[in-house]
Amino acid sequence: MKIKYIPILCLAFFNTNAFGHVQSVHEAITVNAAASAGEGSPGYGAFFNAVSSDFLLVVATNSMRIGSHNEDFTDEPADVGGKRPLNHFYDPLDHTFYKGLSDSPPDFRVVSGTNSFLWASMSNCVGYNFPGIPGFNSASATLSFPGGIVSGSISWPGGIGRNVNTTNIWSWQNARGYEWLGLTATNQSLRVRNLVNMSRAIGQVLHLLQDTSQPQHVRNEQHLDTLGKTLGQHGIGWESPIEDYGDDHKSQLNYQHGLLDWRGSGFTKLEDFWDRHLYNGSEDVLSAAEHGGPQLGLAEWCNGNFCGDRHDYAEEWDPGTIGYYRYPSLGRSTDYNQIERNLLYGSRSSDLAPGLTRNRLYLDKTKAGITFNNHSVLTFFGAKFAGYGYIADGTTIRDDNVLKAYHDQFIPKAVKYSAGLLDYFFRGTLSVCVNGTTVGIRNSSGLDFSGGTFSIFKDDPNSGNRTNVDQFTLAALVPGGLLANGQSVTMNENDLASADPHTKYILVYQGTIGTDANGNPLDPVDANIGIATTTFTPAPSGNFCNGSPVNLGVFNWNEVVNGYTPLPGKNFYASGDSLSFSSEFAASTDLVNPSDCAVAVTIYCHFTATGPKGALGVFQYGRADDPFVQWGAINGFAAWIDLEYAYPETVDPDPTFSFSVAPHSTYPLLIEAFGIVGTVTFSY
Amino acid sequence: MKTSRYYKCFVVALLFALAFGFGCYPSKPTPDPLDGFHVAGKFDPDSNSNKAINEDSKNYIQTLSPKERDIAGREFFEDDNGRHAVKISYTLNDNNWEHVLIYDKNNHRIKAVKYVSGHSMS
Repeated sequence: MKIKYIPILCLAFFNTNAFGHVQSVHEAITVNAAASAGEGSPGYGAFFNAVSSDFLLVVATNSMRIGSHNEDFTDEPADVGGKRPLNHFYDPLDHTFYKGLSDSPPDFRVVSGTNSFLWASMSNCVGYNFPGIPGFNSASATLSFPGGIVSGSISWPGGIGRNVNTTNIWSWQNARGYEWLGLTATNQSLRVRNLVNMSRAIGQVLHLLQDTSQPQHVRNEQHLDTLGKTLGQHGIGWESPIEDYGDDHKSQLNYQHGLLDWRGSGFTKLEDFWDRHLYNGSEDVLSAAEHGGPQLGLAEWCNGNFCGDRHDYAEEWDPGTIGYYRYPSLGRSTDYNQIERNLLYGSRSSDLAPGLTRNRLYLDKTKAGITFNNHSVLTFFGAKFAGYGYIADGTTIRDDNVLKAYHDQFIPKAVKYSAGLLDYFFRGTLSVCVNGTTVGIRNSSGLDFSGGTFSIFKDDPNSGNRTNVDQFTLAALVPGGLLANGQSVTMNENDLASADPHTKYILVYQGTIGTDANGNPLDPVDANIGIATTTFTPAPSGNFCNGSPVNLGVFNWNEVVNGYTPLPGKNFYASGDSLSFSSEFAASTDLVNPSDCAVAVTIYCHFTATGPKGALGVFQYGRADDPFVQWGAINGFAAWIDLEYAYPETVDPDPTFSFSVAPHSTYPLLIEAFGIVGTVTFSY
Repeated sequence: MKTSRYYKCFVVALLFALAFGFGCYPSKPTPDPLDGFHVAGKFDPDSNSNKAINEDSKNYIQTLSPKERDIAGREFFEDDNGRHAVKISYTLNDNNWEHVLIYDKNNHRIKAVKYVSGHSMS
């Protein structure tokens, strides 16, 4: 980089940077991640069922979308986050410069921001005070260029890119604070405002995680957009071809739904979604992750498998320099050695411009992690000098085939990890059964509850006001203050004695969700602030017996006798229509239920409803013999409906479930299937 | 000669800075057009009662340029008097645009305001 470009780049730095995927791509990833969580995350569905009297899931999804947009704000007057994108980098292999952005034009090592995990995870995170580009720390210095013709016409408040006294009020821990208020505030509109803020904060955290799927953001590669392109695509070269491609193709990217099984992958804390500290530049770890071995954090996966624009293959940089990363490597990750011997080996056509197709020499990623074609393309000089050893700038990712291949890999991964993060945020689940004034509470989170409190609130059906009627510390209920997964406790709640049986009560647990063998929090970010919630009424529903669940039987789809039958002549179901579904399990699998024990029945009921793009269908569903009706909404996508019931003490040994769906929508929904899928487990 | 080339580059850079960072855009009015409104937590745009707002705001988006309409998102607000508002937002050329549509109690649009609320780096 010639020195004469420095001030130009400084202007660009201040003014026209591009950081991360473009905002509309973030929004699309977030919306698809939310849909994925809606399809496969019981905790996510349970939470939004619990708050459905205040807050619709579709509004939550929209607020997350907005949050994932807003995280790119820079010096927005209503925001205290300053130049937020300076905090959107995370280099998992950096142990010296705090893992955040430390690259300023022209590839100088200058720490410029807080790493994205810290920015995402700390309550009111104070950002790194970046004084600006060295040498341009004051207005006079900024203007002291040869010629000096603009002297006095512009001034920077300090150095160019200066970003000081910033705070992130949209972090994970802030989201927990909003969540608590969204569940417990007296005033309904205040609860809604906080649930909106919770969703927005989650969206901003999602944005930060999604940025770790952009190679430049995990390989400490600062990038500039408009100015870089304007002065020639290969001239300055600091614009991001990855983000430009995403911007140009945002509606065609592969937003395939997926939900990271973070439990099965061994993730135990928020940081794991970024970095599990497993990858240290070793090929073995990259390969193992693709072959059933330990799954990596998204930043690790992306760092080891993809090139940045400048910080590319290991052979193109000297060890110890700012752009050097051991992987990917031309020799150890790609088929470069074969192409070196026979150039035609990698020859494929490339559309360079409309109507202009030429053959280029492509490198495929054939080892050391994920494998796919079109990992990069040889430049003119790369091809010219192939066979004479590696040369700087011998390869590039600036090719539509390469950029498509990159996006095909990392966009679905971003959706999957984002959905997993949503599932992780809402991992706290519990169920309640009531018998008189005795309230049984079962931890169904799959993780232990440690410490913290249970709070019971009730809603005034007229005013919508919510009041706190009781509070218990977990330590007061269980010796040692630990409620293991699957175990239940009881508490006495006198308020239930005189309550109308339809009164809505809200139970909120706030504490640590997930502990290690020594009882310590698995996730320091979420220690003491994890939340699980559910609603209940005083209507008797039996007792939890013995604490530990006992499996009474597993019922499969093929044991359902009566499937969904569409109404005659009906394909679409509009407002006022209803349909029902009944299932009866085979007599051979009758339940045997001990008296007075509530049976927790978890039914995964799946139906597919589709409507026009953007259509919102609202429907109600519930068991036919259960007065409790839940509401759901669907936004042009298939939906999972997860129902969880605490059954009365007397259970039909051969139970029949019925559901009704009544769309209240201006758009008729096409109901394509409706029924129980997977397994249904009865336990008490 | 070197200085001259350098000088030209700087002028080009400055012009782009002016074009993309300091263009003449309407700034956010005072008071905020959404003062008194809050996000409607249970607003279903597809319900019959909200049909007018839903369609009007969709039609409004159709009047934007193709690039704007491609990235515009909506957020629905309400106040304590039963009025609604829609905020349409998007970022174009690093400018955060907001269009606020205010409706009366009969869901007729009575006001539309557009402004740049700030900037983004993307």
